[in-house]
Amino acid sequence: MADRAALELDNIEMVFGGLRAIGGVSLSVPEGSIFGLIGPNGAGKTTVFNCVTGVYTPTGGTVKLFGERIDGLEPYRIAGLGIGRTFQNIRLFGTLTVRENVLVAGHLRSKARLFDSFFRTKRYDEDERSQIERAEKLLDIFKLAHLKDERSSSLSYGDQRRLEIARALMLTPKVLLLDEPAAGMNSTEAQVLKEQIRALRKDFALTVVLVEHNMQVVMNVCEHIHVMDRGETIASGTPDVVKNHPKVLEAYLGKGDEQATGGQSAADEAAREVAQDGEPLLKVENLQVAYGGIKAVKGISLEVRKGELVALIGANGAGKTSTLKAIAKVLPWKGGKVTFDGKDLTDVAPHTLVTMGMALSPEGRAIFPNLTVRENLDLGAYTVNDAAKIAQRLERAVQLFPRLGERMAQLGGTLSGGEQQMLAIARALMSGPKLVMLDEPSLGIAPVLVDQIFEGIEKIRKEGTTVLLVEQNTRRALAAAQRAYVLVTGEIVLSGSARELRDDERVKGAYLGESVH
Amino acid sequence: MARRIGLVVLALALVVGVQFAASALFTPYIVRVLAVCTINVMLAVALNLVNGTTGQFSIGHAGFMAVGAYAASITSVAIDAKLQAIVPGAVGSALTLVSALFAGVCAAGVAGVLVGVPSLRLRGDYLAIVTLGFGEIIRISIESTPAIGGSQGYPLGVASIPAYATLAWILGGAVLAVALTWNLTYSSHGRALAAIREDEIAAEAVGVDTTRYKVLAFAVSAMITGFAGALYAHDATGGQHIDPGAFRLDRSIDMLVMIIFGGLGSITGAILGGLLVGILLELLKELPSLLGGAGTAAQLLRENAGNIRLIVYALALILLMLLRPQGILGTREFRLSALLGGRKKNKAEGASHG
Repeated sequence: MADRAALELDNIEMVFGGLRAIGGVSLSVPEGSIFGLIGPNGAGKTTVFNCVTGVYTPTGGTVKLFGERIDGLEPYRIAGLGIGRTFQNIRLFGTLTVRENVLVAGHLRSKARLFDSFFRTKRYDEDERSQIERAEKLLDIFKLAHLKDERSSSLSYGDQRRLEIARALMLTPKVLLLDEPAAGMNSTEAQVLKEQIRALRKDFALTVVLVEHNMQVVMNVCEHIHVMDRGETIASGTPDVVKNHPKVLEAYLGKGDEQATGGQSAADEAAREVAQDGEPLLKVENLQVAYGGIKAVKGISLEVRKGELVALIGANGAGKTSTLKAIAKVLPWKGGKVTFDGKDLTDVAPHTLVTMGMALSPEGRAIFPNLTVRENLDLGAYTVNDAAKIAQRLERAVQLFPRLGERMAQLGGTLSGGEQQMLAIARALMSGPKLVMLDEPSLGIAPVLVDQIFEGIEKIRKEGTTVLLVEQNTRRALAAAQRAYVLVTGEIVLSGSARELRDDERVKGAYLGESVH
Repeated sequence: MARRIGLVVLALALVVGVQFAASALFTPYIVRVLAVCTINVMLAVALNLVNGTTGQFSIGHAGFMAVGAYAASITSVAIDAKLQAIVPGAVGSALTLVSALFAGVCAAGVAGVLVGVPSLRLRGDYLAIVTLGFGEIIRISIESTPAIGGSQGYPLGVASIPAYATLAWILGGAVLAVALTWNLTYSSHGRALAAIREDEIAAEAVGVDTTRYKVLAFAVSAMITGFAGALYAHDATGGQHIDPGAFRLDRSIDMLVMIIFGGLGSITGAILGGLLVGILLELLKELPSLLGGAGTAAQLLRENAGNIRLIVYALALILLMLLRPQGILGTREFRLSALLGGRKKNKAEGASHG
């Protein structure tokens, strides 16, 4: 391939209200390359994507696609000019079938006019036939052909991610922007993804731009990496150059070189295990959950004792979230028994669980985007009528996550993913729960913030709140927890003290053996 | 293709058959109810295109119906006598009616674009408020324009609307409207509309010009509604007279009820909803005469029949929403082949991950 630039950003700036999300980013993506755009959460990577695809009109600078300016054009025009994209939090057309999702993107290349649609002319039939042929070919490539008549919302997470890529390719783009394609994938799946990205570039003559947190994927698959932090470029170059760049190391790993496995001292470790003899706060016996005919949770039993931090780990689709939702009574049970704080939950309504002392920080955070941080926290204390207690808990939330203190008056939706996660946890704590259940607090979040979040979680436990943690980041979870349960396709296959499980090869086996769709 | 021609022939045969059957088999009252229900079907199918398929929210469609009805009536009243002088008899009547329908469709289409363009930046409740305002503005404008009869209705004095739209015309019109809407909804253009409903940002990202398509949906929907309004004004079983009171907010609400009844997003559901609501409203109108007996209670009921009607209607709605919130058909289409077990049914929401 020639050295022509497929995509050129010159001094792009994006200001929202008074907030400068990106300030003067310039980059050039060579045609035919795989280009990584990385940086900690809140760096402005997705904002760059949104400026390129026209979701936002940049407040300064220019964007060029093969030398032609595209900034200021409507998103659908930019799509037509050859930029396809996927979204960080998956945006499929939920009630449409898998095939229809792909067909929508064939729209721009369609020769059928409105008249043809109204009167089903011969041209319409021919066009539709060729579109369907093209769509099915793409579904074949992504191994989704057998699901083509299913509603896209019923697909598993991994299938949905792949469908989004297939849909983007239906546009016949020249440049493909992938926003966190590996989010929520385990290492086997990520491995497959790497191969797929390389194959896509070759088979579809694409230029690929990748925003990704999974460093293993980025470093391995990208030829050029552009690193951002707080809206600005901090480094740019080949993976080797970037990997050893001091600014990058600092932005990513924080100061010093803490390892993700965590380095607790033996004394700390011992102190943590004291709580293990406490009485059970939560007791789950033979819990079952099903969606239609599909059994997601097949009779799980587990126990969380007072003052403990227990992790429930497992690959994507293992049934972790379903278990939490069932305990919180958001999902109906197909069988089993749950006892919380000595009370049988069988006939308890979900909202009364909060007053009983159970709080859930759901997967995907579910903060209120149009309310301020402060209002989000106040809502967490909805069941509390004591102003002094609320004030005290607010203070505690800020101590736990100082970032929130800086952003009290900001709208929740304007926070970065990691900050939103902190808010979700802090909100769950506002009701003063005995047990807080955290669902995937590290999903799609930059390592530095993951550190801060896990520090917060351990602090919560030390201050006496019992924690049930669902995580697919096994190492992090096992570093923080005292005990853990390993879930594989709806069943607990291993359990024990976190320390033992950390070195247990079977955990890795349980992870890698399953969950490939 | 052959199948499509077959369907058209079948529909035409049905229309002709109905025309003969109507006068022979049914009492004028039944014919009247059938005409009203058929017009309801058109209204429901039209509104479903905006509210169901495209996911926008209009509660001002009575305005489009008024525009269609008035534009058509003004046209027919103006040209009927002259046309009859040139081409007397059935051909002249048909020409008058077709011109009137055409005028109604065009006027409503223009109104659709006029409302559509500025309101497309708005979503959900905000759009609903704008359309509500539009509907009221149309009605109040008519009421305060003496030239078209103001609140007295149109036409004034001894003149009357040439009511040439027999049941066959209305039924034929409904078949045409439903067929075109069906073709649009289940075409590549219709997929673009559904994509807007599901996720506007993603729709734009895969090349759907959301502004253009929303205007399109609004305009087509307004045209069909105007068409239904024009047929309503010329309904041979009707009063040969229209008045603005017929296009109040409750008319828009009735339309909304029809599509929610049948299942938002389903054309066959809208048809079913249109028919059911038409029949329900008619039955409730007949309620007083059904209440026999001589006791004071019965008499009290008879005297308050109008209010009881509203209560029963409201109760029916509440019951449906409690028992089947997604409407009778949900988002699915009723298909004969599905009934016969021929085609695979859409699967409902499956498992999520977790």
